[in-house]
Amino acid sequence: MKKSIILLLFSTLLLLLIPMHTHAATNQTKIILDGQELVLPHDIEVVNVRNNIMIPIRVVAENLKFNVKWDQKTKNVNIEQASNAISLTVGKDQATVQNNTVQLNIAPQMIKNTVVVPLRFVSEEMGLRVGWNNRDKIVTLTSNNVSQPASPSHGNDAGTNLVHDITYANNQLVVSLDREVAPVISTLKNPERIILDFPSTNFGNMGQVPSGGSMGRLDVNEFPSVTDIRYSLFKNDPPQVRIVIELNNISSVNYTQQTIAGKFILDLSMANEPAPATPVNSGKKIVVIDPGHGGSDPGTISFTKKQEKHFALALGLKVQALLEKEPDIELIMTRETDIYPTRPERVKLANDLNADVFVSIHGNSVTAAPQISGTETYYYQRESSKALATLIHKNLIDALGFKDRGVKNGNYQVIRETTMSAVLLEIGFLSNQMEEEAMMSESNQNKAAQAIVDGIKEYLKL
Amino acid sequence: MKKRIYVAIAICAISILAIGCGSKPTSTGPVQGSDPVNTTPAPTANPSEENGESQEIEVFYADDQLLQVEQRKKEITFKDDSEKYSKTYAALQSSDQTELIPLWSNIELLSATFDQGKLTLDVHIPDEARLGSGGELLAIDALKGTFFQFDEVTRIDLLVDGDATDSLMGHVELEHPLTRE
Repeated sequence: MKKSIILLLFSTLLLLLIPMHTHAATNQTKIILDGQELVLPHDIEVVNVRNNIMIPIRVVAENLKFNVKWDQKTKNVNIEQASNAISLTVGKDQATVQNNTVQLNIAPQMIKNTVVVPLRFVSEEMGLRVGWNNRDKIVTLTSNNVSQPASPSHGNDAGTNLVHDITYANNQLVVSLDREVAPVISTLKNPERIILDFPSTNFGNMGQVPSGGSMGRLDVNEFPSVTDIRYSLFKNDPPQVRIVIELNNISSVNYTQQTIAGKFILDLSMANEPAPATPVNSGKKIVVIDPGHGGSDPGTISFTKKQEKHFALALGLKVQALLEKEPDIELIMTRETDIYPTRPERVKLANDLNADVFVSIHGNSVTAAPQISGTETYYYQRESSKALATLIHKNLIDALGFKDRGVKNGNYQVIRETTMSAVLLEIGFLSNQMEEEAMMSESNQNKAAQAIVDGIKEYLKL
Repeated sequence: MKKRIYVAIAICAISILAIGCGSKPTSTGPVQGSDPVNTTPAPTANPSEENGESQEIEVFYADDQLLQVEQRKKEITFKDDSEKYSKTYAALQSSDQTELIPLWSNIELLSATFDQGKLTLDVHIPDEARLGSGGELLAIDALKGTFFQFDEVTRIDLLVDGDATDSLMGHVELEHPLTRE
């Protein structure tokens, strides 16, 4: 009884499957333009000639909405759109693109009184991207101008996002971006991998930018639970950055993600550690450098009308360049461009990273008393912060020779709410003519950067 | 920002009215005296013994090294309460001694309103008036010290261009309102 029911069900299923299958087999090639299937006229067929999809010029005109001119006498097809123009001739395997002659895989043909042209060639020359799914016989066409409004969730700036830095320490992958973007995260097994795809994202001014097809890698030797972290430009147009984390000896993959101050952080601390005995901190010290202000917050204006935010960033980037050479330091910047992370965001970034050192860089000002000058360094209450402040301050005074305004306790949010050793540096007075001139000079900024690095290294005993 | 737009609209409206008035007999313009600002400078120039009240107040400045706040006595004269606060603010903006630094010197007071213990000060900060972290702390201290000497002021809401911003100059959080602690 039971068997017969199953048999019945099975045969019904088969019956259902067969027509579907035959349908698919006879189904003619589908063309999908920007996610929408083109509804082709009934009497029109897309044909496959020696693996070239050929479409009737009527489809080019009516469905792709290009300007098509057909000259019956010369058998010439002229296709135009915006600034693109191509000219093909039936039976000729050469075409003209913006007055240059190009070789075609296949010549336009006349089939059943219809002129057909190679779809890929025409589409690509008209600025469309062409994809071909051979199994399902689907051509996907994507226009570039459509891909941009496809990501309007990032506000007014629909341009390409940029990755500035990728680091891994303390079970955290930190990706510094121009602006926040939510990557598509997926996992694969054998071996266990976490794949992060950042849409409309390219590489910015990173140390090593993997060019088309090549791959960048992070050094993960000291992290037993991670086999490999690689990153590449996975797609070109629009760009897409892919980061793959290959995990080692892990029974299940767990992660949490968050975005703080333009940084995407993937926390793998919940991934099963193969050897819980390994110290959580793998030896590298995490240093967060915070160039003050930025973006909508210009800070003060200097004697020669330069904005404090630019000074803070210029010096911060010099500190970054030096610290990135330190093998025992993992460096994270709160900003690498002219953006404004809020103070709570800067604090949260440093705290969530479980950083060892936080250094906020500022320039001082008091226009009502332009004679005032000097370097001062702030900490907030904690003895560890005071020790760090004292060391950096001493190095700054030695390097720049500005007046010593001392190491002081100051109730500032970024050094109060951070939980590690944290200092706020007022390098000098931008309102003082002499000091401003000194602070704007490259050589003094290099000296100041070196002094900050020396102070940090002395404090960390590196 | 919104406020500025309203002000701009108001200015436009007034100027349109003014243009409209121009074609009418000229006497209506000056008689209407729609702009009270024109009438106020005269009394400030004169000593206002006739109708003004005068009061000696403590005003807070930074010392000449920008290390801490110091207070000095100053006399202000005013017609009413609202003027008392704007005159007090004006006192904060300048010191007659070179060894004292007026921390609010270039910060423009847009309005001062007092209501049930809360003094709302709306200011505009030009970029060059922004202080460093030390100056910002001292400026807030000076403002609190100066206005909280008036017993009736229990809270100060300090707005920047009409907005309750999270900070005055980017180093210190700005509470809304500031309290006596």
